[in-house]
Amino acid sequence: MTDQRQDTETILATLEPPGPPVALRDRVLRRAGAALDRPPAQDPWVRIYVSRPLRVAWAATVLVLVVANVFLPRTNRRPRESFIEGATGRTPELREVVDVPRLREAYVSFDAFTASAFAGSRRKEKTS
Amino acid sequence: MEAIVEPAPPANVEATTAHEPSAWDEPAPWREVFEGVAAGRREALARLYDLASKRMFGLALWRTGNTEDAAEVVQEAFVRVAEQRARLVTIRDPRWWLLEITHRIAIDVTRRRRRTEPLEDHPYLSAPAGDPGSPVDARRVSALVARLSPKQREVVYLHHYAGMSHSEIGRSLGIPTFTAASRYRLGLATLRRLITRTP
Repeated sequence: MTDQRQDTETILATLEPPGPPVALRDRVLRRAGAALDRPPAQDPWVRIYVSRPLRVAWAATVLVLVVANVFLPRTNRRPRESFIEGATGRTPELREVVDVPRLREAYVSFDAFTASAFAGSRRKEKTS
Repeated sequence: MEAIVEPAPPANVEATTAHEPSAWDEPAPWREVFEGVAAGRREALARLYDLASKRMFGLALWRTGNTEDAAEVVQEAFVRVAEQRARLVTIRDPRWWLLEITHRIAIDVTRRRRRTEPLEDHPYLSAPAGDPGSPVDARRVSALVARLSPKQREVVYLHHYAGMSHSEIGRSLGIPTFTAASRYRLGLATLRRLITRTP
């Protein structure tokens, strides 16, 4: 495995990727040189730091987010029940169909107990 | 920064190995060249092109699969270097940063062109000058390299021809080191299988 891998690497080492076309140098240097003549692009954070309106806008945004986070109520959410009521209207039969019964812990423990008891009785049947 | 570990050239190919030490591998000129470009000097830009264009073009070629797109990638990368010259002095490792932006632009160009097949027949490898037997090998191995996925090709190129370690590749491409190593291993395994199966 290692020898074969080395063979593959050896084959790659005997060859080389082609270089860029000769004409590319002038083209690149002309375009990049033109970009050098323009004022340099600034980092977004630097732009915010040096510009007063951007600084004010950034500070205002942070302030709004903090105020909203502190003062907006967190409990004002529509309960799941209201969705079902809205969808089924005042038809109790339809509501019974749409509303999937929830798993209740009391039933789960009861089922677990009966299941283990049932499994025990089957084991007894097998051994007898 | 980790030390760059050069892969040891195999004993039988010392004279023709593609990974001979070049200006790319020397740490000395990069900081000076970047400072020159940051100061807006055109001669520094030309020197940067001479130092980096071969590796950048190779990476772009192995990622995009054709010479035209690779040339566009290199051109766009140098324009970006010139535009972002204000931050060049803060870049810790200029070589890997150049390869990183080349990688990103190559992805953008590939998406823009929406090409799935390379325009040319297997442009990935060429024979070193003065080796009469190699052109045939170069065409054959290039055809097999073309069958790797672009992601695998890119990692094989960076590790094998740019001399980057897996962790450096991971940092440049924004992928975990393990993923970079895995892509390299899978790429080589696929290449090995193709080489042994095809006549």
